[in-house]
Amino acid sequence: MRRTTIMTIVDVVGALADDSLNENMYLIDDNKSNGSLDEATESLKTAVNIGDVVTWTVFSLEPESYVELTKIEIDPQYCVPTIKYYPNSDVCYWEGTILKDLDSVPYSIAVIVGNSDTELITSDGPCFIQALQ
Amino acid sequence: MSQEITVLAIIDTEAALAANSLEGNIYFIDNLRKTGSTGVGTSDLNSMANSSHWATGEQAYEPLFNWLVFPLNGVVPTLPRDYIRNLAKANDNKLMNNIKISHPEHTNPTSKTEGNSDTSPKPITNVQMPKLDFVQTKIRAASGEIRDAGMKLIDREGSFVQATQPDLDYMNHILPRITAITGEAVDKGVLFPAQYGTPLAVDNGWYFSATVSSAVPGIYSYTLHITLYKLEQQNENEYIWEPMCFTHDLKITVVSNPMINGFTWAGLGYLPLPLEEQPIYQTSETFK
Repeated sequence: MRRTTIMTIVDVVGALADDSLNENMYLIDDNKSNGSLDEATESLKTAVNIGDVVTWTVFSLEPESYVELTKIEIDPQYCVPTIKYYPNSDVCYWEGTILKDLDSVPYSIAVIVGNSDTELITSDGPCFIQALQ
Repeated sequence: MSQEITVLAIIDTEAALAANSLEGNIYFIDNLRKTGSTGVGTSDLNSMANSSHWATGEQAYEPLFNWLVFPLNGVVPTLPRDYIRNLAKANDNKLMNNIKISHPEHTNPTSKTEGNSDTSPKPITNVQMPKLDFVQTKIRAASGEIRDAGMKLIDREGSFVQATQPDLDYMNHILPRITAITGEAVDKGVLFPAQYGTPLAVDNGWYFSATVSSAVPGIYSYTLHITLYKLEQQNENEYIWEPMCFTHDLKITVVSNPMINGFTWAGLGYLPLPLEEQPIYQTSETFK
C-alpha cells in the first residue's frame, strides 16, 4: 500500500476571470516514479494500485485568495473520497482508498473560488491509471 | 499598484532528496500564463514581466515578484504557521488533563480519601504515565550548529509519528527554503531581490521578493538557491534535519508592452464591466 498526495493548486484570479478551471488548475502528485503522467496540469494521471490511499489537498496560487475543494466525483466502485480535517483545525483535505484494480478511471474536482458561490468543475479532468509497480 | 507576480515552486522533496537533484522534481507556477509566461507547470519557467506603463501611457509601478516554495510531501501550506507547535502543545495539555482526571489525589489538594484529613498534594507515584514516545527533531543550521527544531514530527494527516516503529515514508517534510537569488538578472540590475517577513500563514513568515526594472527589455536568467532538509537518524529517537543545498535556473522576460488589467484586458481607466451591457444604477426606486 502506498500513500499518494495530489496537490491541487488553483489560480483563483485566473479562474474568476475565465469562469473556468481550464489552464487555471495545476494538479501535482508525488508518484511520478511509479508512472504518473501530465504533472502540473488539469489532466494529471495518477498512478495507483488497489489498496493505495490518495490524499487531495488544495490551495491557491496567491496565498491571499480563497479556494475550497467541494467535491470529487469518481465511480464509487473504484474510490469514495471523503473530506477530513487536520486535528485541531478547520483546514481540510480529501482522502480515498483505491478499491479495485483499474486501467484508467477519470474523475472530476469541483472547487469554489474567491467570494463566488458557483462551483467550478474540471472539464478535461484528471484520472487514475495503473501504477508501474 | 504594482503588478504582483507570484512564482510558486512545488518540490517533490522525497524524490529530490532520493535523487540528490531538483531536476524533474520541481514545478514552477506563476500567475502570468495569460500574459505570456512560458513553461508554467514545468521546471523551465520563463516569466513574462510587462513594462511599468499603462496602455494610456500613464506611469504604472514596477512589477513585483514573490517566490514561494512548498514541499509536495507535506501538510497543506494553508495551515497556520505555528500549527505543528500548537498541535504538540494541545496534545501535551490533553495528556496532562488525562492524568489529573485519573489521579485526582496527586493533583487536587481538596480531594480526600476517607479517614484522611491531609489535603497536601501527594508526590506522584504509581501514576500510569501515557507513552510520550513521539519523534523529536533537531535541525542543522547552515553554520553547522545543531538546534532543537522546536517541533515533533507529524505525518501528512497531522498525527504525531511514534518513535517506536516510525512510519517515515508518510512523514511531513518541512518547508524548503530559498536562501538567495543570483545570476544574470541580478547582476544586470533587472531583479532587485530581498527577503521579507510576512504575517501570512506560509513559509514560516519569510519569503523572497524582488522588484523588476522594466527599462531594459530582454530575456534574463536567474538562479534560485534552495535548501531542502533531509531527515537523518542519529541515535535512537534522535533525528536531525540535515540541509541539502541545490540551485535551479529560471528565466524572466521583460517586455515593453503596457500593463494589463486581468479582468478587462485593458489598461487603467477601463472598469471591469461587460461592455455590451449598460450598467444598472441603483436609485431610490430600487429600494421601494
